[in-house]
Amino acid sequence: MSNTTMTLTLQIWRQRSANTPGSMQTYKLEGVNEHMSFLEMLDVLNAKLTKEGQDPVAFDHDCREGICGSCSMVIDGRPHGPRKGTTACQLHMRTYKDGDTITIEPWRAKAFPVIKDLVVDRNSLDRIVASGGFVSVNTGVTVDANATPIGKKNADEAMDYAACIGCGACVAACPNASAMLFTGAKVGHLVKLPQGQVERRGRVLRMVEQMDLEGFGACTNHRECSEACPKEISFDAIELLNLEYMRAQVTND
Amino acid sequence: MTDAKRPGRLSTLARSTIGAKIVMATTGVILVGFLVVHMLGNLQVYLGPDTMNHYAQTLKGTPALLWGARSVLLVGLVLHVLAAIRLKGLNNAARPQEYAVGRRYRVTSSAARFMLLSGLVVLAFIVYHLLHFTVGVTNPADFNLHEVLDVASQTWVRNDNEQLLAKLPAELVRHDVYSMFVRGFQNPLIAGTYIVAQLLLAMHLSHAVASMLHTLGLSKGAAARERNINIGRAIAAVVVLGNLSFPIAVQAGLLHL
Repeated sequence: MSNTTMTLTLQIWRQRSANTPGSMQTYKLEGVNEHMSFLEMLDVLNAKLTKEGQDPVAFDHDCREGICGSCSMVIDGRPHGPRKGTTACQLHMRTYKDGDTITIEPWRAKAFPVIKDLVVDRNSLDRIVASGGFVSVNTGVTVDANATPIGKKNADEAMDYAACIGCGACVAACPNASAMLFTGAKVGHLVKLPQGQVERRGRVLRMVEQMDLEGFGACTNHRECSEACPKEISFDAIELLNLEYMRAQVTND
Repeated sequence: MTDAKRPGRLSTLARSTIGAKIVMATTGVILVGFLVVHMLGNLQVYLGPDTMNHYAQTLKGTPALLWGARSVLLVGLVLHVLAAIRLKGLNNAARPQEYAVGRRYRVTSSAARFMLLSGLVVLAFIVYHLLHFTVGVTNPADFNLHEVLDVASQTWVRNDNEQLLAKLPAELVRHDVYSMFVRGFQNPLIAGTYIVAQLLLAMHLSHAVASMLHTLGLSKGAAARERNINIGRAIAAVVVLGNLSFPIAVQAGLLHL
């Protein structure tokens, strides 16, 4: 295993708090190992900044294995960086070469206010889920597995929509900062299952209402969201959301 | 009643972003349908003055159809523009601070990103086009041309004698749309304006049709989306090439008085 190291120029958005204006700051970082993940590279930068008595760069991270949806940064103009279907934590420095300049900034949306540097408040997505993205189940004994038969196709589609990790890259990528891919995925994974039928109508109406209240934009079918999605949620989610919404407006079930 | 809290119906539809998209898509279907019919109707100019003027006379002779279509189109256009302005406002507000570094888009097109711009140019063109050929205020000399039916030979003959035209019964006079059409496009400035407007219409339609099919739920799956993008481009190409042929044919002398 080779151990190529590189020197990078990083341009990073620094913003002390939600109410202070931010700006891009330039940092030179030497000795970046090609096997590091993008976040490990930022750890190295932060260790250096801390040693120099400077404020480290704040960024969200948790699992670092691509499933928690915490990491949220626009790298060189693309949410999660250049690789398709890859979160920032799973992006490795071998993607870059010695001497590269990399720009990093937070998700930009009214519904995602910056807390500090690269950290944004994504509670708006949680509030959309809380408004209807669940099934109400009275607790009791555990139901036998496969007690409710579900067709293969529906099970697959529900699973694909359920892959959404709620990172918000779709919003960050959308020219209109729309959250319709996210909301569509959350509506979609429940509507494909028998358990999701009972609250079907109210769910989509309330979730769309909440999505609009949060100040997300409207989809104009650019399809940038599904291209940026680290879980590659299909753009079908938005069509499904439109249809479910229309259906809810005209039915009474 | 399983849902404890159910939001209302049409009120939520009208206010929601998805409602605005549905308005854009359904009015879009009406407007695209009109564009196709309008272009096909105008192709009759290649069949000569008599066919073209007879077509115009027929349309004017069925006021219920004419004004019915015009009202639907006007309402459709107004709703389309209002929904577009509302969506643009919402979308601008959804990202108050732009990215510091220019974004690298992966799949969207310039046509999709500049829909409002192309739409506004097309809207301005529609106003001009109506003033030019429907109301006849921009070039009245080209507009006020008529034909009179020569009863003996049953042929229509150009007649610009306004006193005579005023006296004749309506069924013996018809608008000389063919001459208006040719004289209009003989002016290079007017021909150029129409050509530029049509190119922007092509840009608008190339995103509009696929987008509207998607909103209406007709493009499930990547293959269907790809197909709809091609359908959109094909419709844009057919409508605009047909329309572009008119000023070009006049300028090239293929259509003449």
